[in-house]
Amino acid sequence: MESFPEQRAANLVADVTGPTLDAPHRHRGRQDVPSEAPNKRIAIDLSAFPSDWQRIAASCAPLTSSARTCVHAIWVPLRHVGWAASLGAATASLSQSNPHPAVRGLDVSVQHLRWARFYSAVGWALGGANALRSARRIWLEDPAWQALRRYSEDALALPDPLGQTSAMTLMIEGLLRPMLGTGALRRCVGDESRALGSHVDALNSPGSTRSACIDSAALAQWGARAASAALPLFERVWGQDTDEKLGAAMEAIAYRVAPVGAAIGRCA
Amino acid sequence: MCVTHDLGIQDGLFEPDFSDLMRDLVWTPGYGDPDVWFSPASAAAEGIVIHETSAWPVASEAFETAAPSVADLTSTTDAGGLQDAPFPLSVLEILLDAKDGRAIRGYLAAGRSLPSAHVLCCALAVDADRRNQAYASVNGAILDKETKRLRTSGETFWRQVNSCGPFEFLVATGFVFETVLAEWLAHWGMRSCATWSHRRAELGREVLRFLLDQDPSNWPAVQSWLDRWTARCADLLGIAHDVFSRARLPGATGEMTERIWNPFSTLAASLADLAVYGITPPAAPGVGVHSRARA
Repeated sequence: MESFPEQRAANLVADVTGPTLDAPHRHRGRQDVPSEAPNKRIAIDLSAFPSDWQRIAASCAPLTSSARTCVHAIWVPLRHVGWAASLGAATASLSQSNPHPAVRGLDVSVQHLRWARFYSAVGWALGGANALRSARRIWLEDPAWQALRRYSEDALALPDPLGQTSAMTLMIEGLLRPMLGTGALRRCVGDESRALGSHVDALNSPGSTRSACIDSAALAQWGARAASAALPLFERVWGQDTDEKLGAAMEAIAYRVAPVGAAIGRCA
Repeated sequence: MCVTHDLGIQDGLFEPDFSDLMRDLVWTPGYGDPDVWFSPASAAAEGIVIHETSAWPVASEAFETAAPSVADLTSTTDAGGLQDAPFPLSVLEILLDAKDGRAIRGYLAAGRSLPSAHVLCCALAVDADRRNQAYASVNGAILDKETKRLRTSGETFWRQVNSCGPFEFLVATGFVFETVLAEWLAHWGMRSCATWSHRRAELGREVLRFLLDQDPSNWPAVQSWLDRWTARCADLLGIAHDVFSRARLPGATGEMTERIWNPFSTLAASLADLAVYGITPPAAPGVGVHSRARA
């Protein structure tokens, strides 16, 4: 999501034209630039590149009607989980144990918002504002989603600010991302979901999940509950294979456990 | 109850912007007490009535994801680039509170109290962080003696802002402070930074308009916040101006105008069309006369 062509093109323009607002302090040695370097602005027509939205829309276009319904019912309501996780991470950055709020919680919060934005864009590509409204109805009323909704609400009601984000990180990074990735899309929707799956992979790439360690206290306290809360959703996707897949995901979490409190700290 | 999935698939969907995608993410908790979920500070305590929570302004995608436009970045008339900065940048570090990040913390706290505004507050916090990194991360060379008064005033200002409720915080920081700061930065010749502040102030103004739109009874509170924070901003930036004038670096390219100039003209102009809500522009405090801010 981060390295789409517009950004690369903008970087190219900025490289050619000199210092940018992003990091002016890196360019203090302006005199180091050789004088023969042409300081010309190269005109690049950014409209020639497909936008993020256009590529998401193009990857949703080939889906059949049943596939659309499936993606809409299982993936689009995840935008609400992303929003809740973002709120939790923002709360964690307000805790007194954080010397500076921008250290970690802000980044994590924005990552979750990007996740929510991606699934919102998928929903918009499937049916515009109506699809987002009905995804909201699913989130609020569909029985299969209620355990997950209750989990999110209980997590955000925790008095411990770090606990809020730990529980939500455990759910998203530990379970939802591995269980509802490309494999789930292919199983649920079929091969035509390949283009969409590549976006999901890019979103869940190690670069964007590196920060998300799961802390040991959260795992002990919330692990079993998280698995059972998301179980109805996983059963819809994986059917008979649910137990096997869920077991593998829970085992994989064990490799990413950090000491208590490190999930919001400097854990890489 | 199982919900039927009627997608109403449309042909030729228009491209959504950030606010289209990020609207209506919040819901009222059904399994617990909402007052436990969202810290119950907020609305009632500040006397603000919100009827339509989905009408909160949402920052545009460009605001959230990245940076100023290429044209802004390559402006040659800018004295705000660091190599040409007319002033030691540690003054900006104090003004923006870059070291302690109280502004960022304040935005996140406001978003926590007003969940409908979480996306907006998150975008503003990220943008504030980006601006701090771009402009205020360099240690300048002015003496502590000269900046002591400014540092004290800055800390007081940010402490006072952070002790406000979320609505007042958004009006004070998002609108009044950014608007007045943009005007001063333009005066000091830091045009890129001024543009940046101006962009943030525009968003703050949308919040202001949203609050006034929601209910006529919101007017007195909003007016009192405008008056109070204009006076406080005048104090803070007046002191900053003194420090700037004394600590101005030799050979700096920024232009310091000596013309008679009202630093609150932008504020008054952007409040002009809110007169229909009963808002009057705050009286401009005397420049250079540091009257104590009215509590």
